Amino acid sequence: MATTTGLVQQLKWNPALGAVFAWIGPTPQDTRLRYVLFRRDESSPHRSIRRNLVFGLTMAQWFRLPVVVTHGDGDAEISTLTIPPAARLYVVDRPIHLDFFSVTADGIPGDAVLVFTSAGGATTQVVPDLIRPQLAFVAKLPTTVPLGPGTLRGTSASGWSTLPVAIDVLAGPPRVKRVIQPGPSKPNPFTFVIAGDPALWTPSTNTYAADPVMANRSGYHDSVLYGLRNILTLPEDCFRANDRDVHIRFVSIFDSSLSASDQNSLAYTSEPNIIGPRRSQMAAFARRYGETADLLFAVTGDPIYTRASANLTVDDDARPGVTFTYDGASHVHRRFTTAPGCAAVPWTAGAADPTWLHELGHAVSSTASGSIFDLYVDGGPGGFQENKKFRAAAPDPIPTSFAALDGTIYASDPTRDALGYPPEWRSYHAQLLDATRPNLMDNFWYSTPYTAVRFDGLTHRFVIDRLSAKFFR
Amino acid sequence: MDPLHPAFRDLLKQAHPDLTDAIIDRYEELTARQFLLDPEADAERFAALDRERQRILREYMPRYRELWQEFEERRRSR
Repeated sequence: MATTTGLVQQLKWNPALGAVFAWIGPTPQDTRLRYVLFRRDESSPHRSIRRNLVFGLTMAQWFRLPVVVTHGDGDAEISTLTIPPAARLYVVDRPIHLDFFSVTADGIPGDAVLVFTSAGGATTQVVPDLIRPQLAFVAKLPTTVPLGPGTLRGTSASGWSTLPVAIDVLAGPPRVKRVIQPGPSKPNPFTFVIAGDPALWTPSTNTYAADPVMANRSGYHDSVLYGLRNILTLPEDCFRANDRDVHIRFVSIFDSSLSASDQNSLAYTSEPNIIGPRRSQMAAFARRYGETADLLFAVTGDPIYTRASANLTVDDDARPGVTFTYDGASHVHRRFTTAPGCAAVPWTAGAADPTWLHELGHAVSSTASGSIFDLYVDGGPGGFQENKKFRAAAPDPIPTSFAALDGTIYASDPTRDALGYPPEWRSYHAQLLDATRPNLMDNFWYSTPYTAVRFDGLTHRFVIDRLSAKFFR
Repeated sequence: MDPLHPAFRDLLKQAHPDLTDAIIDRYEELTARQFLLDPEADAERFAALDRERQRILREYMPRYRELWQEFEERRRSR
């Protein structure tokens, strides 16, 4: 027996022959002709089988589902028909023109396309801006997608196809809160909130002003896409290794109705060009929209204050955690937080740098369980620093071993990639995962391209373990 | 905190004849330490680091903000 697979591109009933002809293949131009033959003298059960074959072919054609038909080796008459289980697509939230739009499914391929079909039959294909195996994300749903009721399905040139789902496309307005990826269905998924900052605080004058990002929703959408690409597509994979990003709930909040006041201010400015997150406001802000944030990044829009910075997570020491040892001393990655790790990032951050990922390196860490600090300066914040150690004096040799994490020894970086340790420095770092580039927490501007930088091996493991403690609570 | 772009470091030194890499490095270290702090929960330490940082800016890099604005505009226009 032989098989033919593909989409049912065309069906034709030939009454004179008593046959239904089926053209099966990946495209209308690339098909194989097969047929179902109704014989005058065959029994009722056999005729029923033929009818079922035709019904199945018809349904497969209608829903654009791939089929597998069997037939004789030198023969085109169809003996059996199989329609493999099709992927199911889940729309996260209602499609609205120019708003974020995302769908979840299993095994979304990198060449996936979203096909919108209106009630009148008009189709529009939308290529997602970001694809993960579980998520297809569009930063701004094009206005070419037909309004009103219709269907949506996923498809790809590589053969992936989903059942269609009913949708109703709106012209607007974009939502204030948009769930980008719902995360696991449990009461407390690890939640990463991205918010447009409603108001900037100037500490020196204790005044509040509307953040310019509130007048630039389109730029905010671009920033969110840039940030998600930073987190989910760059060579540094600690947020997505083994598809672990399926455990993250991503939410966007953009509320331009808020006044410029203390409780609505997520970021502050500091001379001459620095933007800082107001960690004290983050948790309460997210709760107002029904979210408990583990991480919160505030996107700001001032054109001068564009140097991003982050604050560490404050873990909830009263709740459970996962114990680990660092150089033999016991520490705990707590599963929950009292204040989210956070950052203020400018919407002008370009797609060509790893700023979000760098700030995330700070934000996911905590003072109690080991802070992750900048490696482009010699000093540190004091306390337990996970990624930096100090020699007693600058001329002292760098130790071969940097640290032991859960009993595994990680070597030191003897040369600080190509940058070198300045002769007056006492600090030193752990061995890099990519020795040809600076550490992500070092001066990544010295890498080509900027976005190719990675953590050192110790910090990579440390962050994965820390996130696991929170993802799997 | 975002690291200092090497091209901007060069711009600073060109515009400020007395400015050295060591002074910039000291400024960067203060900045990195200051902005890992919560300005409200750690107000005293934040303010102490800020005073020292602002002093270095005034004394050695008074044109920092103007140069940064030009630098950012050039980057955005590319």
